[in-house]
Amino acid sequence: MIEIHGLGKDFKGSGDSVVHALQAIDLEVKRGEFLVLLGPSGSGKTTLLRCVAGLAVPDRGEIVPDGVTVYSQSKRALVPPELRDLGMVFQSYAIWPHMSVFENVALPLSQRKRKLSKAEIGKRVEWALSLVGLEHMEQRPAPLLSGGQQQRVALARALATQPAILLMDEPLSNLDARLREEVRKEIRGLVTQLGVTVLYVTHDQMEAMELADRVGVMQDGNLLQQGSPEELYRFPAEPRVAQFFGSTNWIDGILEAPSMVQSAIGCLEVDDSRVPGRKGPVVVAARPEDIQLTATPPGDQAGNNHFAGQIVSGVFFGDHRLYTVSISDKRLLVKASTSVEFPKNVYISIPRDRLCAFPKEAALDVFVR
Amino acid sequence: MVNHVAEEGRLFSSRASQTRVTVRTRIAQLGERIPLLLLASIALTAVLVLLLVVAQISFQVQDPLGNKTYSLANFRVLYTDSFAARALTNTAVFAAVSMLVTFGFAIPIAWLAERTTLSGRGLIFPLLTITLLLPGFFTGMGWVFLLHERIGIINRLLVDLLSLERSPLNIVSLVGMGWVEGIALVPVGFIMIAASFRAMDPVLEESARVHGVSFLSRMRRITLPLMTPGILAAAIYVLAITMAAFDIPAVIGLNNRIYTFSTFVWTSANSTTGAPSEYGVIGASSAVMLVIGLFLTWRYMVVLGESHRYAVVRGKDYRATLIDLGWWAILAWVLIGAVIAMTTVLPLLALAWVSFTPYMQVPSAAAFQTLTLDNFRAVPWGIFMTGLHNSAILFFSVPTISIILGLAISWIVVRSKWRVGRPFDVVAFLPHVIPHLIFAVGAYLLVIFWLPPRWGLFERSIGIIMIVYIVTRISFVTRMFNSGLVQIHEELDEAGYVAGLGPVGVIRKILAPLLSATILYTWLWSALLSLRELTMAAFLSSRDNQTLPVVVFGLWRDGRFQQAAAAFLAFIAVLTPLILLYFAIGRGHIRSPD
Repeated sequence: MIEIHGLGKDFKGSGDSVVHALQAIDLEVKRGEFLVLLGPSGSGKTTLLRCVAGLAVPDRGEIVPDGVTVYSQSKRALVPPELRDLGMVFQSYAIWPHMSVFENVALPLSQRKRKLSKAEIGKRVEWALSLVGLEHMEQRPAPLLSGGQQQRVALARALATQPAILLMDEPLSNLDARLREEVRKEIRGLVTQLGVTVLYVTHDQMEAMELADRVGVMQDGNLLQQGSPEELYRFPAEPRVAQFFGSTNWIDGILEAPSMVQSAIGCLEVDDSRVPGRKGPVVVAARPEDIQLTATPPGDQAGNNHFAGQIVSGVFFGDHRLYTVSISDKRLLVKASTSVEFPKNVYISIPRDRLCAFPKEAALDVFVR
Repeated sequence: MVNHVAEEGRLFSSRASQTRVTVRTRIAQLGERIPLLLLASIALTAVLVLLLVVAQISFQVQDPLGNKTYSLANFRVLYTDSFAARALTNTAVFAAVSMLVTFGFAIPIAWLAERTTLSGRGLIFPLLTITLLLPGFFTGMGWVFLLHERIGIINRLLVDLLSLERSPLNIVSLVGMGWVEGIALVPVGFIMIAASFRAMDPVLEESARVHGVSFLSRMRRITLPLMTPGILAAAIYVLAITMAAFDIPAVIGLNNRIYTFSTFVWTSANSTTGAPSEYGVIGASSAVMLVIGLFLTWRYMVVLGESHRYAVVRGKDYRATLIDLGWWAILAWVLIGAVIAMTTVLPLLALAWVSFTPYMQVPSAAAFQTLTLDNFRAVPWGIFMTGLHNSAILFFSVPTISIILGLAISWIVVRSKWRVGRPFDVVAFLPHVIPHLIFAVGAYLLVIFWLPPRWGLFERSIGIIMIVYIVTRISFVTRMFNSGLVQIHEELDEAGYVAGLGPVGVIRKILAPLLSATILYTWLWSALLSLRELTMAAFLSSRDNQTLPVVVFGLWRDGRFQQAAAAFLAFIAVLTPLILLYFAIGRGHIRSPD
């Protein structure tokens, strides 16, 4: 549905320097798929979205949404945004303040040679507003809307023309936490109902997990990895992805045998599919929620790594408690149930299929940051 | 392998067909960007062409056979000809005097308006704005009636009162003209200085006060240094106006053979015997002014850039405690009253008096008996109506066209991200500080040297005046729209593009409605300035394209002073409702024209 090949864009930095906002991005979004671009600010995710919309002009590569080449460096093609048939929700909502709700939603319907009659436009606006539950607000002037209502109007405006592709640029970042959760569910429901293909930008991993069929993690203008939320969580392709997707304990070590890491806390067994092919220094990632905490030494289960340690501190989070456990001077975060009280001396076990080892040099920039 | 070749072939054929399509589709894709670029380019080309013609003609020397060569000969004439040299030194004296007068009044009044509790200080702004909207030459006419050596009312009253041998004051002198020009420019200086007072956080002055710094030291050590960029910018702007000021030197000086740069150029152009050398000298003297104007533009931009250094992060809704003047308030209002009297009330009264008297006389009980409408009857109303007609055309067309061009330019400068943005911005800024007279000279020379003779009608039409007015309005209009556009969130435009609007659609449906207050204000201000303008019109006028100010000025030039006064009163009658409308719509919310 959306094909992006080798997309690159540079910005002029201070002086003669050049910032590579996007470097050779390859991405394919399938019809009806909800793809979330996830990354910290400055990672290039919004630039990528704006290139698809036509609001930013790339320097290299190709963008082909719905079979139409809207940008191609080699073919010297560039279609301006007004001629690309897209819907888009902006971070600020961009509700035109001098128009009513009706006029805001109706404007895209009267453009692009649609030649709809007044009655048809009225019907389409009504339909779009009913999607977001604002059917009674047609005549309300835009400035009198609350943030959440503006957000819905923006969504209705983007969907009114029934575009095949919907772009969303951090649409929830200006809402308060409770409302954000509510709208998130609504958006997911609507998108599934309408079968529209979505490209969605956010820096919030929870949002990405809840909404996405597939997530693309971006950093420094690169698409680090794409896959379902679970794939990214379980099999991060590199430390930066692991770092960004949930919190992680990093354990230094040396890969000595194909599945054996000699580490700061002792010998770790790691599934050989999750270690680098080459022996040498590595870092091992262990999620706090993958580590099991017990008061007594666990039975010797195959595939688990066992260690004895001491609890340094524990923080209560309601649904879980986050402990800091010290094992031979290395401190690990461990997530555990709140229903059990643990003594100072505890045991941890880490399943070997939950660990990931990365070459040390690949992880350097994660820790330098 | 076969597959690969086939793939390759397809790729090539599609690329080839694509290229053919691209040329056509690219133009289609640019769509509404083309008219915008075209409008802006035409407007800015006009700015440059008018200036380049001045530069070109200044170097051009034509021998009696019509052969053209280029040399510095014209400048040599300027340097050796005592008449021209005298005009230029006169201009320096005239400009210096008027700068002193303008800022001598403007700085204290701006301080009173912005930093004290002076009651009624809210009136200062509108009162001075009225003066700004009245044609400047009227102040000159009024002051001739007040302080002329022979007929000046004040002079004659003083002679009678003090039994003097001769008149104590004489307005017909360089210092006198500088004084009147300076007085007339107090509102301009005031508006600019007041704006920079407002831009400066009073907390800086207050903290000095808290730390025990006395009033005078505060002024000297804190206020004035911080305002230096603002004052400098205002000084540069006013200097650019005065050095090319035409109306007051023309009204006071021309009849008495005291020439400044502008009246020298005007006289040369009007008395020309058609000898090519004279055009060269006109071009050369204008080129000198142009170079000074460019220099001032550069300094102005530098100063403006520096003023941002002094910007202070301002707390929310913070209002400084203002200084209570106590009994000094009376003196303050005497000062303000005196300025308003000198800029507006006294000249207006003098004109009104003169227009009703059969011959020049001092107001007295006996004189009141002789009042008559004869002067009004003697005004050539036919010509007056022609002037009114022409001025009405300018009143509506100049602001409308300027605004359309200004929106196109500002959109390109602020929004388009095209590489031409910066150069467009610089060119659009040129008419701000470069004297408008230079543009009029450029148009005058363009018509003579570049337009084919069959365009002669154009030369005599209101069209040429309209074009020069519009060209010189561009800086003001784009300044207003640039700052307006910056305040509109860019995602509002982007939502428009995604909705399917082109740039023209976005401007029409989104930006213009959101800028409507700015557009209305800009339209009205530009319309009123087109009514009051004399300089450029006087330069380009012939029989059929006279504007109202030119009609009045023509009567004055012919020595029909009382009819000129009467015609001016009729002009004021036309202007008054428009000025009232301006205040009704602006509702006191009047911004600096700069």
